[in-house]
Amino acid sequence: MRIIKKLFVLLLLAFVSVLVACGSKGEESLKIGYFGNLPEAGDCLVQRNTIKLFVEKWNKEKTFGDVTVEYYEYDNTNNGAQDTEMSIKAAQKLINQDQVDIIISAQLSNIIQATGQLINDAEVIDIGLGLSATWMQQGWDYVYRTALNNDYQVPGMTAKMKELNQNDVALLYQNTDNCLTFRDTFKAEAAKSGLNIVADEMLPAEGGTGITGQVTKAINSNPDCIFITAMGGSFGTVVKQLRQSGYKGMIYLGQPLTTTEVDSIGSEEVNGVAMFSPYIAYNRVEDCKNEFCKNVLQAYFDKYGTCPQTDMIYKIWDAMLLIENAVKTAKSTDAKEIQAVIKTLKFQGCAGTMDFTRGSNECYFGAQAWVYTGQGVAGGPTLLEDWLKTDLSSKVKMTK
Amino acid sequence: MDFLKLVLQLLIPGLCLGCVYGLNGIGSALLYKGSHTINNAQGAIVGLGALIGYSIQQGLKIGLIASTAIVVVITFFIGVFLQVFIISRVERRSSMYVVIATLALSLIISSISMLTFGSWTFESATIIIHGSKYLHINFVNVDILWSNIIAIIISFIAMISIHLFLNRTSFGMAMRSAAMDSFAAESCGVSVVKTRAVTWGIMAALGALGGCLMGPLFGISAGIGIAMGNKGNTGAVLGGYGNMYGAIIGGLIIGMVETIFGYIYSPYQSAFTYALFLVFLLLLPKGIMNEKAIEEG
Repeated sequence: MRIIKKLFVLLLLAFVSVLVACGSKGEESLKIGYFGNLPEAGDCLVQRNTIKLFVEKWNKEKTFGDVTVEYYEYDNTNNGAQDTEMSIKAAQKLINQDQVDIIISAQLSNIIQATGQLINDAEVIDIGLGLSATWMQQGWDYVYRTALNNDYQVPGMTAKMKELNQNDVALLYQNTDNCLTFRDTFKAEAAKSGLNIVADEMLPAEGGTGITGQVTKAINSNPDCIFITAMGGSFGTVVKQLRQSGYKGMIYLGQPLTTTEVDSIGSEEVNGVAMFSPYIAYNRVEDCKNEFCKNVLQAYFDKYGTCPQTDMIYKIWDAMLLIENAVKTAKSTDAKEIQAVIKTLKFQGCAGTMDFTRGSNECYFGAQAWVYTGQGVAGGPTLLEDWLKTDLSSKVKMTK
Repeated sequence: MDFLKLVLQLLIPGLCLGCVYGLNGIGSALLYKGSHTINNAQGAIVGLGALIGYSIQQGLKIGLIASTAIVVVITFFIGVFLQVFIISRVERRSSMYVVIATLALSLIISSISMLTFGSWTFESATIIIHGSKYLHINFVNVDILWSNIIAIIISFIAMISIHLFLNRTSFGMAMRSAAMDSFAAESCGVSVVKTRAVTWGIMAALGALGGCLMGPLFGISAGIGIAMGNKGNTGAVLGGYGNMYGAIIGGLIIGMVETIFGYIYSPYQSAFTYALFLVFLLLLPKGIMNEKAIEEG
């Protein structure tokens, strides 16, 4: 009987807490919600740190006048990995319990795909950090992206391969939504450009050790270059295996390596690994040549004492800039009013002008070609055009 | 000649993977034989061991072999600690409690690893002999990584050492007797508490050894052990769960089959590998080593 009484009191307390939480909606506040892998000290930590950095700055500087910014976050992992079911639960909590105005979804496109409809139907602004084309094709009015859609990388990449006479391409892709759509787009663009796909090998979705057969087959297909699309954090293992298996040619990646991945591959072997991206990660703030990005890295470094190891910093920074500009322009925290002004916005972001006026809920439409040189810290990433003029490119077999 | 080259390109890495799966499988087999339970935390321990190895390499500026030796000792004691302070307390109730407890341990270890090291992949020290990372085989013109060869050699040394320990030392024989019949062993003066603790120590040390040996090939990350632990368990079942030698053979088969199917038709790599596993289970339910027969014999 006593246990039942205790349970009743606990339930009552929980109920009252929920009521109090719901009741606080009436106050003047901007509520920002986030879900991701909270125990992870990787991409998600950079996301959370950056959100907190902005929230603290906004409240301190009274960026939105008397409006106080509140931040809510939930873990979406199951067995250590981000999970769609947990993400839906987290989104429901943010919408119904916390009544947030804006949600920042983590970087996995399948998660954004799973939660997008729910958030859109609730008329809450959703900023996704994933790169897959698929979730932006759903026509969700409240869902935005501040990173570069994979589809916009591919034409430049295939054109560059053609220009370098790299006509035979071996393809390695992971079995995930993002990678499969990226691969399909790449194959379509390759066909248009007259490139031949000489190997098309699937890597396990979970990453890990079972990639030796695929890597051997890609190399034995005698390609001019190899293109890999994989989840962030998995590239390093595949590149390392390719180089260790004796592949000396150019390797194109679907997204930049983290600085630790560059270290794990080894500086010499990373020479000739290229990618088409708006920006790139650095080990040290001073290595970044772009003034805007350098300031971003410096602000993060000043706050947390470390330079982010991943290009995620730019994506989340741009997301926060979008919130700042939209709320300031709308002079409101109402999602409908924010949504109405976003389509008029055009402002400076990490990869240049963030242009939402095209009406596609995206803001970047092109990338730069980068390559790791294998020199200096974090592989000394530089622009591909500059690298081609140096002796470093002669150490890489440009064609078979 | 091209065919021979291909065989070498697939055989050596496949054998290397198989050896590492085998190391994990041995631990699972010893545990199952000793206490009829399974360890869901093995993959997390493999990842933890690899990360400790990386930290030692960075901190003490030492190479792969020396750091791996230290990791083996550390993880042995981690395994003993887990058994003495957690597992022994829950296994008094039921072996099912152990399964759940190891699942919880897996999540705790993985979370701590993630919090401490993130999801990044780190560079491991590698094996360089005569200034090269490769052994060049002239007649087929193929380069084989020394890291692969050394991993195979060390794995076999570890397997033979475990065999000798279990068969030629009094404590090893005590472990075997405790595994066969704990009550009878205890009545003969064998400390079952100690043998079980050492079993956990060996299991953790072998897993961590595998994790460290994979470092030069795949880099080191918190997640590296999950697949290795699972495949080690699969190999152990294939070989005849509870049979150490079966676990080695099963691990080798999983490593080779996975590599070959990855080459032949990669989209169905996992499906083919595990379909083959199921076929084996249906045709040889007691595993390759006919474990039940051995137990009865």
